[in-house]
Amino acid sequence: MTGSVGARADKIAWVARASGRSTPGFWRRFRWPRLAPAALLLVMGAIGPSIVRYNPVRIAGPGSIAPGAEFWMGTDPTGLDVYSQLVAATRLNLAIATLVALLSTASGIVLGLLIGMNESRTGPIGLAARGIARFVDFAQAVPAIVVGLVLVSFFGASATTLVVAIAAILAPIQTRIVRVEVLRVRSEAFLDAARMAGTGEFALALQHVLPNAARPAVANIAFIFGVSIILTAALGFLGAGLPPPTPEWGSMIARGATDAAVGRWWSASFPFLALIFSVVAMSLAFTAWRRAAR
Amino acid sequence: MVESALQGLQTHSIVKRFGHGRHSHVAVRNVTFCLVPGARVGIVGESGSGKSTLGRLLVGLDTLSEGRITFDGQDLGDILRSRARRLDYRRAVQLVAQDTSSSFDPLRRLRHAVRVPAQQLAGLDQAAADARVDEVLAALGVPEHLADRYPYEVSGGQRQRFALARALVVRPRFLVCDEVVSALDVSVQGQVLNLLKHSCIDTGAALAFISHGLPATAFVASELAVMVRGEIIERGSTADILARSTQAYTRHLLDAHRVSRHGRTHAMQPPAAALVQPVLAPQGFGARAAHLLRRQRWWLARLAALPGQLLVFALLAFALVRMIPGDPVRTITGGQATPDKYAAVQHSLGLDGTLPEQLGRYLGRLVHLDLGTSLLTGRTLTSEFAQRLPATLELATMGLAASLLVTFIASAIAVMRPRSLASVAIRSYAGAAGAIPDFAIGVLGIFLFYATLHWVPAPLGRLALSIQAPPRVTGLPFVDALLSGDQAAIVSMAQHLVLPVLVMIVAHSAVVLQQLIAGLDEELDKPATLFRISTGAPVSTVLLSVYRRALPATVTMAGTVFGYLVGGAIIIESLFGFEGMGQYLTDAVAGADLTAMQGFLVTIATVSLLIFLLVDLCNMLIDPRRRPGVAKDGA
Amino acid sequence: MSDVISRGQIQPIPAIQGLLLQPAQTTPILLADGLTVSYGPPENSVAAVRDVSFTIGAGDRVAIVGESGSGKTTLALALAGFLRGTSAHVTARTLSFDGIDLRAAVGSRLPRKIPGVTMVFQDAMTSLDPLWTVGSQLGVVVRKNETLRRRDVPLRVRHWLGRVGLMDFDRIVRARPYELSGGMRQRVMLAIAIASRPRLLIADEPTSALDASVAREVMDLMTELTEEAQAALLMVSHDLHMCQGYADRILVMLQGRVVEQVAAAQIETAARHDYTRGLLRCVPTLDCFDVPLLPTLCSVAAPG
Repeated sequence: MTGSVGARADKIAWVARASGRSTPGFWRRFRWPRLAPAALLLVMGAIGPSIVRYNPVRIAGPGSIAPGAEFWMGTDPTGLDVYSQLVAATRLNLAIATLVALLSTASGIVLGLLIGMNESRTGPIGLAARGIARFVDFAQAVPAIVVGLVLVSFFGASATTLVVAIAAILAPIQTRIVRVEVLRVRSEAFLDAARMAGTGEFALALQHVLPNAARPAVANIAFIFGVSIILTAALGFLGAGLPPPTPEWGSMIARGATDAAVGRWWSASFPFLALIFSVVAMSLAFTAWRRAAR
Repeated sequence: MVESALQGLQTHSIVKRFGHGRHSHVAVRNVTFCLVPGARVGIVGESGSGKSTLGRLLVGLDTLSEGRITFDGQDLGDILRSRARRLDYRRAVQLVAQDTSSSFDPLRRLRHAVRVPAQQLAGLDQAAADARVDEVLAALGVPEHLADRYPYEVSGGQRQRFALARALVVRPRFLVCDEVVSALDVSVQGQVLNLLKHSCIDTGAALAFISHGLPATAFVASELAVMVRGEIIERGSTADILARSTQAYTRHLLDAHRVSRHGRTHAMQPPAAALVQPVLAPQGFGARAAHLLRRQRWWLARLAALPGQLLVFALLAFALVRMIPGDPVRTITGGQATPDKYAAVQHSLGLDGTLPEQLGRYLGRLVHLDLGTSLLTGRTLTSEFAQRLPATLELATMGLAASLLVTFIASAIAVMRPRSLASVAIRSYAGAAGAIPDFAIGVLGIFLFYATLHWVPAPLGRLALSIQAPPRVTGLPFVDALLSGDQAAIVSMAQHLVLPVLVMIVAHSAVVLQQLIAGLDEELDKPATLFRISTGAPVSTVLLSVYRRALPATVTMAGTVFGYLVGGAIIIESLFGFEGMGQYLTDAVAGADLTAMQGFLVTIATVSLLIFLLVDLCNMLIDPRRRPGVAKDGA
Repeated sequence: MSDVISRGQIQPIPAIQGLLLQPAQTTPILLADGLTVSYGPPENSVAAVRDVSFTIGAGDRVAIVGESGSGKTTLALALAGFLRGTSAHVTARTLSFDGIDLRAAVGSRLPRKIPGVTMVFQDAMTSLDPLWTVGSQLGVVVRKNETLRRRDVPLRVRHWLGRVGLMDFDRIVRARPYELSGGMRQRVMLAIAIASRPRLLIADEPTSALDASVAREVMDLMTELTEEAQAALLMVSHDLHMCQGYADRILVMLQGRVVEQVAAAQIETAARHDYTRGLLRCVPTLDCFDVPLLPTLCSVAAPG
C-alpha cells in the first residue's frame, strides 16, 4: 500500500475487473485506422521499384527542376527524378530497418539474458559477465555515427555492412534493457516457487525469466526501428551508406543540401517527409498493437 | 521437546551470513531446531529476527554458512546435489511465501502454476495433474473458474490460496509457511488459517508457521519458538508460552499484542537496544582522512580502471582492422603497387610482421599517445586530432548546454501545467525522442532561415569571409574568439552558431526531455513529495526536492546524449562548412584511411569514458545513496 | 434519523444503520456531507468513496477502519485535499475544513496543502525525502510554521527531536533517512508532522508496516503529541483493535460507504451493522488460540 496517487490507478483497474466488467477482445480493441500509414509504407516497399516514372539511377532531365507535371517532385541537382528515387528507396530503407530491429533485439535478448543470469556468480563466468555488462554500458557512449563510419570504412559500403553496423550500435540499448529486467525478475518470488516445484535452473531461465525479461525490449522495437531508419539515412548523408547511386533517403538529402541553400526546397524536403512518415507510421502501428494487447 | 533422532527436519547449529567483511550481517545465529512429523510449530519474531531466512534454509533455497541440516538423517546438502533426491525432497518439503505481486509468473495462468509441481515432482501426466489441481482447489474452497485466470485478475486472498494449493498439490509431509496471512484482510485471514490448520491435521503433515503476528500463530501452532536477532530464545507449547513465559522479550511481545480496549495501553518496558545509533564519525585528522579515503575508494578505483577500459577499446579497434576481409593494403594501393610501395603502406598500417609484433608495436605506441600516421595527409594522427577535435567537442558541448537549458525549462512547463497546449506540444515532441534526423533538420533549417528568411548568415564556415580568424590559443574556436577580444569576430561567430546550435537543440533535446518529464511525473506523485507539501514546505523547496530526485537518471541520459551530439557535431560541420573532425572523417572513410579510423575510435572511446566518469561523479554528488560504502538502514 | 446538536447548530446526518454517535462536545473543524470520489468517464465511472458524511471536532480522535478496497485511503487523501487536480472526481454537498471549501479545483499539478491539515503516510522511508538530511527537512518545516530568526531554528529542531524521544541530536540532524533505523525514521516523521502545527493530523495506516511493539510506541507518541498540540487526529487503518485502543470514535467503511459510526468505548455493545460485528469477532486474539475454528466473515454487501 503506498500513498502514491499512481498506485490507485492500478487499484481502480482491479476494482473494475473484479466487479465483473468485461473488456472487449483484442481485435475489437485494435484501432484499425492506425495501421493505415504502416500499410501504405509496406505497399510502397513492396511495389516501389515498379511505380517509378523514371529510372531512379539514371539522369532523367536537367538538374534542380521544380516539382511539376513532368517531375512530380522535381529533380535533384544531378538531374535524378526525386519521386522515382523516393519510392525506390522505400524498400531498401524499410528492409534495413526491419532487419536491424530484429537482429538487435534478438541479440540484445540473448546477451542480456546471459549477462543478467550470470552476473552475480563468483569465478570466471561471473567476471566475464560483469565485464561484458560494463562494456555494453560504455559502448552506448561511443557516438553511433562514429561507429557506423568506422565499420563502413573497414568493411566497405554495402547493405550487409549497414545492417550489421547499425544493429551493433543499437544492440547495446536492447541488451541493457533486458539485463536490467533480468536482474529484477531474478529476485521475484515466482522463481523460488518454480524451484520448489522442481524446475531446474536452465529451464527456469528459459521458461520464466526469458519471457518476462524480453517484454520491455520487444516494447522498445518501435523506437529501435525509428532510430535505425534515421541512422541509415545519417550515414547515407555522410556518404558512408550504400554506394551511390543506390537510391536512399539520406544521400538524397545530402544531394539536396546545396539546392536548399539557394532556396530550392524539393530535393531535400520530400525525403525528409518520407523519413518522418516512416517513423511515425511504425510508431502508430506499434502503439496500436500494444494498447490492444494490454 | 520431543527429539526424534532421525525423523524429520533437523538443523544443527546453523549459521547464515549475508555479505562479507565489514558489511556482513548474521541473519541466523547458531540455531538448532527440529520439526518432527505431525508437529505444528510457530516461529514468531519481529522484522529482522531471521525467521524468514530460517524458513528458506529449511527448504533448501539458500545455502548455509555454517552447520548442517538433516532430513530423515541425511544431509540436506547431499540431497540437493543429486537431482533425483532433490525432487524427492521437494515433494516432501514445501514452502509457501507471503503473497506479493510477484508470487506468480504474470505470463502464466494460475492453473499452470499449480499443476507444474504435480507434473514435475509427483510425475503425473497432464490430465492426472489437472484432476489433482481441481481436488486441491476444491479443498481450499477456491472457485474452479478462477484457475483459468491470470494472477493479477484475482484478489490477494484468492492468490494466497492458490499459493497454498501450489504447495499442497504434492501432499508434502512438511510445510513451511512464511507470513502467509500477513498481507490478507482480516475477513479472509480466518478462512485461510482454518484451512491451513485443518489441512495439516487431516493429512498429518508437519507445519512450520513463520509469522510476526502472534495471535494467528498461536491459533495455528501447538508449539511456539520465539526468535530474536537470529537466535531462538524460547520454545515450548503454545499454552505454556502464552501463560508462563520466562523470557523478558517474549513477555514484551505478548504485551504488545494485548490491547486494552479503551484508552492507552499500560506502560511497556522497551526492549533492550530498541533504538540503534547511526555510524559514529571518526575523530582526529588521521582517522578522518583514512575514513574519507576509504569512502572515496570506489571512484578512485574507478579512475584506476580507466586505462583497463581503454585497453579494451584499443584491442577492439586492433581486432576490427584485422577482421577486414581481403587485403586492405592491396585495396588501398590498387593492386598495381611496387613491392616497396606495398611494404610502405603495410608498415604505416601496422600490418607488417607477425600478429604479436603488430600488437606489441600498437600498444607500445598507444602508451606514448602515438596513434600512427594518417595515410591521406601523411601527418601524425595525434597532431591532426589535436588540431581538429577540440572544435568538434566545443560544438558538441555548446549543443549539450543549450539542449539542457531548453530541456529544463520545457520540462517545468510540461509537468506543472499538464493540460495546457504547451504541455501537449512539448510531450509530443519528447515522444519523438531519438528519431529526429538532425541532418535533415539542418538542411531544412538552412532553406528556411537562410535561403528564405535571410535571418542567419550563409552556411559557409564559422566566420564571415571578411573577418580574420582569431589566434589559436586553446583550439576551441569560440573560446579563442572570446579570449582575443575581437568584437567583430565574436559577433560573427555567434551569428554563424545560431542555426547549428538550434538544429542540435531540436534534434537532441527530445531524449533528455523525455527522461526528465517521466522522472518528474513519477517523483511528483510519490509520498515524499506529498509529505513535504503536507507539512507546509514552501513550493520552491518542494520543486527543488522533486528535481533533485529526478535528476540522476537524467544526468546519465545526458551523458549518452553527449555521444549523440559528437556524432551530430560531425554532421553539422559537414553541413555548415565548419572546420573540425567532420570533413577529415568523411575523407578518411572515402579514402579508406584505416589508421585514422582506428585512431579515431580509440580517441572517441576515451572521451566517452571520461564523460561517463563525470556523469557518475555528478550523480554521486546529487544522490548520496549512490556513493559506495554508504550504510543503509542503520538498524 | 439522529440529529446531533452542538452549540446550537443542528447537523443532520443521513440515516446509517447502527448509528450511535456521542454528541460532539467540540467545535467541528472538518465537515463532510455526501462526499463521493469517483474515477473514470461518467458512463463508466468507478466510485471509490460513496456518499460519506461525518464531522471531526477540534481535538477529536477518530479512526476510519476498513479492509483493502474499502476506500479509506482515498477518503483520507480527499480530506487532505490531495485529490484536487488529479483525475479523481470529488463531489460533496459540503466538504470544508475550518471554513475552507475543499471542493474548489486547483489548477497546478502540484498538490496544494490545506492550512492546518497534515498527513503522514504508512512508511517513513518513503515519506521522508531521501536526499536531504533530517535537520534540513525539519528545519524547513519549522521555519515555515513558526516565526523565528534564522539562528533560532536549530534550537527548535532540537526541541522537536527531543520531544519525540531522539536524544542524539548532532548525529541525527546530519543524518539522511536511510542512515537511520526504522524506529528512528518513524519518530522523525512524527516530529516533522507535529512541527507543522496541524489542527488535524491524518495518519494513513500508521502502524501497518511496523512490528507490534514498535506500533504501540508510535501510537502512544502520536496520541501524546496531538493531545499536547490540541490537534485532532484522524487515523486510517485496517487494525480494528488498535483503533479501539487509540480512538474515541470509529467509522467503519465497506466498499466505499461508511456503514457504522460508533464510539470506540461502546463498539462491542453498540455496533449494529453485521460487518462491524463480524470484524470484531473474526480478528484473532491471543485469547482464542485454543479454539478449533476461527470465526470467519462472509462477504457482506453494503446497504443500497
